Amino acid sequence: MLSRAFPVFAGMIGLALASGSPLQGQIRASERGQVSQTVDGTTIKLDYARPRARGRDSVFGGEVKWGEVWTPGANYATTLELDKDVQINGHAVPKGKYSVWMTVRADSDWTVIFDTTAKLYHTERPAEHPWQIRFAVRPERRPPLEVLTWWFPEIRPDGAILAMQWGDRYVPLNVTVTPSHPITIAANLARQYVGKYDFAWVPDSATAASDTTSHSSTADSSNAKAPPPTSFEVVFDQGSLWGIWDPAPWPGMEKVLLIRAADDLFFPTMMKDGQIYDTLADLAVEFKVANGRASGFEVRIENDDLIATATRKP
Amino acid sequence: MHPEPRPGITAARVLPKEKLTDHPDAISAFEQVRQIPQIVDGIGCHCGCATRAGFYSLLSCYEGDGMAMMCEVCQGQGRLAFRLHQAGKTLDQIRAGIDARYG
Repeated sequence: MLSRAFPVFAGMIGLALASGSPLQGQIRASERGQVSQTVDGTTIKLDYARPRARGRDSVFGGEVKWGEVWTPGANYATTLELDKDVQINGHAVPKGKYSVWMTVRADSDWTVIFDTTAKLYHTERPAEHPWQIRFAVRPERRPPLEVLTWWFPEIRPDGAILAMQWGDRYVPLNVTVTPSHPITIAANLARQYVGKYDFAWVPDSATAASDTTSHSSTADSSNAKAPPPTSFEVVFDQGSLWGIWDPAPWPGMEKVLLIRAADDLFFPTMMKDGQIYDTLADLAVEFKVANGRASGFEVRIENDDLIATATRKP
Repeated sequence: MHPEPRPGITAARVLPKEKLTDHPDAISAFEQVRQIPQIVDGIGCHCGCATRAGFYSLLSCYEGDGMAMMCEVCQGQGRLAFRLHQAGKTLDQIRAGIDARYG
């Protein structure tokens, strides 16, 4: 215990002496900060101290030595906390709390290290262990940032970019979460829903539906009129269930992925360029199934109001 | 996350229609919850209100200041619980249905 605590204590004393002024009343050189993001039910949380460049032109290769194992923060090591398993840059990272380290290099890839000992001082660089998660990243050059910053510049339905920048070095980490609902469905389950349906909106319900899908609609939802009855075909393709409207009630809704949330319950999901764009969890599609065959379905909004019904075509 | 229904629980504290005049769209949810307090008291709430003082179950959302007046998730859970109960589902099945839809 003493051997582990000593470098921490020594580091703190060193900082105090280097400052040339008493600790009392001093603003911390590196204030603590937190950032977190939830994606599809998975929360990704960073806790770190935020050093400032304080006018130094080159942080890396100067304050942070090339070849050094460095925590992208200051004082106590930056921590990454996950409440579900994720993948980061394609590497499995089980749920848990990790200290975060990077081996910085001048002209080659850096190594990101997640160590299962979360509480470490920045001088307690972890030795390489088999249970560490290590992978290479390629830092990018960006206009300099004065304060070391972690943030989420990009969020997708299936993940996010978690980024760190200090000085002119920007390190993006691609986090992919475990989907809360699989997008595929077994063929024997899908078969009972496949077919063509007559689809009709419940009168006065179109505004609510348009509000739910407003990001895809070019119309002002407050002036939305109920679209006419339409045909809705459920198809099983490439392991997933799809709904195809003809004609579509709103742009972007021509073909929706149906993600199964429970028996006979699906959430329509909008696609863009072959990728999931948005799951409309406010719209529940409930099939009515008897003897292994759906006779129709209902669409309900968040408050469970019925907004549309569909009946299987003969 | 779902609580056990309190023995002897009733709908006596569920807000009456007269207190919902500003929220007519919510009246049907309150009327349905009033019919099944022993079921709704065994259901947690997914809207985030569970940390509020005095909260015990989804039934709490329909009592006191009646946050279900304005919360569509509370209304939806109450209505879905009623529909599933009407369809003969057990409390566990109703809980599972609500978790799948709102969880």
